[in-house]
This record gives sequence, C-alpha cells and structure tokens, in this order.
Amino acid sequence: MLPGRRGGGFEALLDAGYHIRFGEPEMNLATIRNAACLAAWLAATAALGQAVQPGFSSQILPPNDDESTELVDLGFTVNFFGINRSAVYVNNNGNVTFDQPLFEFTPFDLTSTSRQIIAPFFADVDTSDAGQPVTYGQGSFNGRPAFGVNYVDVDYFFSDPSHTNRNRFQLILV
Amino acid sequence: MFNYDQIQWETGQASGSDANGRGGDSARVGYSNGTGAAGTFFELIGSAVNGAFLDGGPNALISNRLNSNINGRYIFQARDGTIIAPNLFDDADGQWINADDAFRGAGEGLTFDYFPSSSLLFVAWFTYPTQPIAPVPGEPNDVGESGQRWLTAQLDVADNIAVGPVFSTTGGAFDAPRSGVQRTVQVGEMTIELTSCISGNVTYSLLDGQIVGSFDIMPFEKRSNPGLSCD
Repeated sequence: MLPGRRGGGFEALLDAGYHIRFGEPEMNLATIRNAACLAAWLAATAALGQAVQPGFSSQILPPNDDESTELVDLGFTVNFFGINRSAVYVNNNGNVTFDQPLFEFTPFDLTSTSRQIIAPFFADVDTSDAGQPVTYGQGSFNGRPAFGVNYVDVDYFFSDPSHTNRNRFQLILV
Repeated sequence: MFNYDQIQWETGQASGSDANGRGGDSARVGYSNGTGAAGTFFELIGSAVNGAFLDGGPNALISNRLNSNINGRYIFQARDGTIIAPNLFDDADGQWINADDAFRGAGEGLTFDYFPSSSLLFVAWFTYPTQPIAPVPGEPNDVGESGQRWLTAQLDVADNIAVGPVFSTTGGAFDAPRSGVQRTVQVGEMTIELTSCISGNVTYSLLDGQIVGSFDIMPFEKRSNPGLSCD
C-alpha cells in the first residue's frame, strides 16, 4: 500500500511525491506531468528485472562454497567450437565447465584461459550460510530443448545471514 | 544466454572485496573453449572492472543487453560450433569522430549507415581544407567554403571489420543537379574496425599510397559525454 493518502488516485501520488522503484532508474512521481509520460516511463523500464526465466530448477546444488556437481546431462548435444558436448559441470562460482569441475573462486582472464568455460558471472558465490542455493535442470526455451542454471538470490564469500545484497542471474543453453 | 535481474555484489572476500562484496578481483562474464584460438573466447566489457557490472554501474548487467530487446538478457548465437560474435556495426549508425582530443572542434568526422541485408557500410568521411577558400558568388555551390572536403566509402563488413574502396565525388551543388558535371572516382581504400560499441580505428590509403594513415574513432556523443557506455 502507498502511504498517507486515501482515494486520491494518481493526483495523491503526485502530492505525496512518492518514490517508486523498479530496479533502476528511480523516479519521483512528482516529476511525472501526465499519464502519457508515466506510460512511456513504465514501458522503458518494464523489462528491468525480468530477464531471468522461471524453471530449470529440478535439481539443486546444496548450499556450499566452491563446489561443483558431477557431470550433468544437458538433454541434448551442443557443438562448443568443434567439440560435441552433452554434459557439463555446474560450478557454484557462477559458471559451467565442459572439461573438469572448476573450484577456483577468484575469476581469471577468460581470454587467455585453457579451460572450457561458460561464465555468466564468474565470482566467489557462497551459498553455505545465506541466500539461496544454485539450482539447475533441463527445460525448454522458445520450444527448443534447453538446460538452465539458476543463481538466484546467491550470497558471496564469506556467506553470512547479515548480508542483504544478493545477485540474481541465470545461464540457459539452448 | 545470460540473464540478470539483480547484481548487488561483484567479489568474494577471499578475492579482495570489502565486507559488502565490492572491489578486489571482481566478476568476469564470458566464455572460452580453452584453445586461445581467435574467435573462441569472449569477455564482456566491464569484466574485472570494480563497480562496472553492479546495478547502476557503467556496464550494469541488468540495464544492458546483447542480441536481445530485454534488459539484462545477453544472447550468444551459435552455429555449427562457433559462437557468433555480435556485429558491432548493427548499432553503429550515426556520427563518429576522430578520438584524438587534438581534433576537438576540427570538423573531421565519419557518418556510418550500415545495411545489414547486404553487410555493406556506407561511410561519409568529411573534413575541411587547410585554408578557407571563398566560394565564387553566383556559382551553384556558393554555400560554405569551396574547399570543404568529403569522401565516401562503401565497405564490406565481416567480423567487425569493414574494408573497401573510397570515392571522391566532384561537381555537385546543393539542390542543383548538374548533369555531366558530377563525377565520382575511386581515390583509395579504407578499413574501419570497431573494437567495441564506443571505440574503433580507421586505416586508409589514398592516391595510390601517397596519403596513408590511421586514427582512432569514437561516437560523437562521447565527446560531450566521456562516460558514455555501451547501453
């Protein structure tokens, strides 16, 4: 509920100078001069925070720090630069690898590595004591077989319940 | 496909971050097949740059996109085992300028118009003469200095590099077609490589190699907004 006013509708919002937030940017409603402007602003910001797709969560990598899954079947074969792969290691630190599990927590240069890696956010994710654990699984995207890994509301090392800042990101292979 | 809804930390505390997960050896985004061969690895701009990927940062993951119309969604398209790097020319239409600050206000620039269906980049490269030369009163082109210069180029684009011939057109006038007077001849070749959506370089060879050189370019907007990002 919005604070203060009752029954004032949009004008009350303007009077209240109420701030609404939808990710970024922040906008003071008092600066919105008409409904058309509001509509245009909503259209421009509606996509923020809506990129992560639901699903791909049939399996879980239990709360941990720097751990990985065993080889996990994708449910289909991908041709990753000439090497056909049908399984990946899901690594807790924001990436999947094809060759071996990856326990490294400090991100290395992806332009000079000898690892076979796809990294949506290579950093020291730590789900051991706070936030949500990593989930993954098969599914579909736009009607095609897909495999997803969800790092949704993950904490960083040293994982601690006092942390209020979380990351929400996702990898989907189609 | 990489999707991002919220990025509020960038580093773990064992990688040099502060208590809030910021600073130090911060996150990297990309992929590699481990061979180091050209085109088999990629790292997103903002990787390892403190603050870049965070919400509200200069390369905020949730506020940008790649091959997508959804903020926070980055799509890498793969065909036959090769991930297709984004074609930076797709979003390069408009005004570019010499990035050297010495050229501030010097009136040199390049206008891009990219035709995706034919992978052709049309370029207008313009500058001014070293000395102003007054136009001849009464002549059809008596607007501006008669020595004002521009060249055009039609370049084939592949792998973020555009290569092709440079032309000079003479004899024209504003809103005054003059049949038989206008003439277009090739005067050399040029190469334009975009290294990001806000940077690139130009190399050229004109008049059978008598005039050669290279310079860095950036979008015109970056002159007045040095913090311009790839949003």
